[in-house]
Amino acid sequence: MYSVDSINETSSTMFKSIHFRLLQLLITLGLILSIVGGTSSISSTGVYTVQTTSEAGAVLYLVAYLALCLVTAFTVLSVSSVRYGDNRIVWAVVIAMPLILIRLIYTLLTVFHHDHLFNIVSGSVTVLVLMDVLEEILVVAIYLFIGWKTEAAPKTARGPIESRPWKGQLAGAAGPGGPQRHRQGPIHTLLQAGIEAAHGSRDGV
Amino acid sequence: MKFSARGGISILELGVYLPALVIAVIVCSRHGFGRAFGWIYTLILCVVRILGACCQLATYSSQSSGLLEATIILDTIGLAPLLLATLGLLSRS
Repeated sequence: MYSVDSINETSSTMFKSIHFRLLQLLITLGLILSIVGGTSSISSTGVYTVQTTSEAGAVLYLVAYLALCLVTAFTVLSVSSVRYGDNRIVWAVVIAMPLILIRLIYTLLTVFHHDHLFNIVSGSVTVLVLMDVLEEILVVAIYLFIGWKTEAAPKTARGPIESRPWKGQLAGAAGPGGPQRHRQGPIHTLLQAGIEAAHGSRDGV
Repeated sequence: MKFSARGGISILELGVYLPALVIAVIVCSRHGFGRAFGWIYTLILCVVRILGACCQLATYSSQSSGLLEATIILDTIGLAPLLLATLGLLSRS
């Protein structure tokens, strides 16, 4: 069983699948806002200005990052209940988080602080390299290294969070049956999960 | 010849992310391509960075503003795959 799933079994169920889906939604929203901001940031005269949507997207990234820190901290604290091979994954994430933080700080600086140093288009190249490109390369390298070294999860041992469907059926990924099998969008699913959680009828999938 | 430092960075990115792309494909095929697993985002990041580096190098030959926009967007969305990949890794472990 994988760690947040196994932690949920052995200790109090702090993280339900819904938290993860909320985080996914948050990051995706930040992404969309950043893209929209980026497309509209070049005016017709070719001048580059930062848009409000870019700023909103960056703030969403920040919030999502802080939430991820919480989840990481929780996972690290319960590291003893993690399945043996996944220890390395937890430590890889712990190492990667500060690097992602630097990348996040770079994005926030370029968006909010209007200084000639931190501009995407005309800013200092040294800063760009040190804060941005290097961090991404390091994080990708760490994750790929961990992915290379770790074995794949056997399909039978997945708990409810890992086998959460990306979109649609709340009833889980395996097999036919279950009360709601028609596909629903993630917002609809979240609303339903919220309603059901309020009624206290589900124990968290 | 590209004497600009940004051009050098783009070439460096190509040199790093092209092999990384190959490794990412292998890792994803081993662990599963599902979005909940998070490994696919390393793949997406490699593709995005390669495209960004190519766009940036292309700005040397043609000054179209669409290319500049593409460079900026690809730079800006570099953070999201990192966060989503982390989320996927944490949900697994």
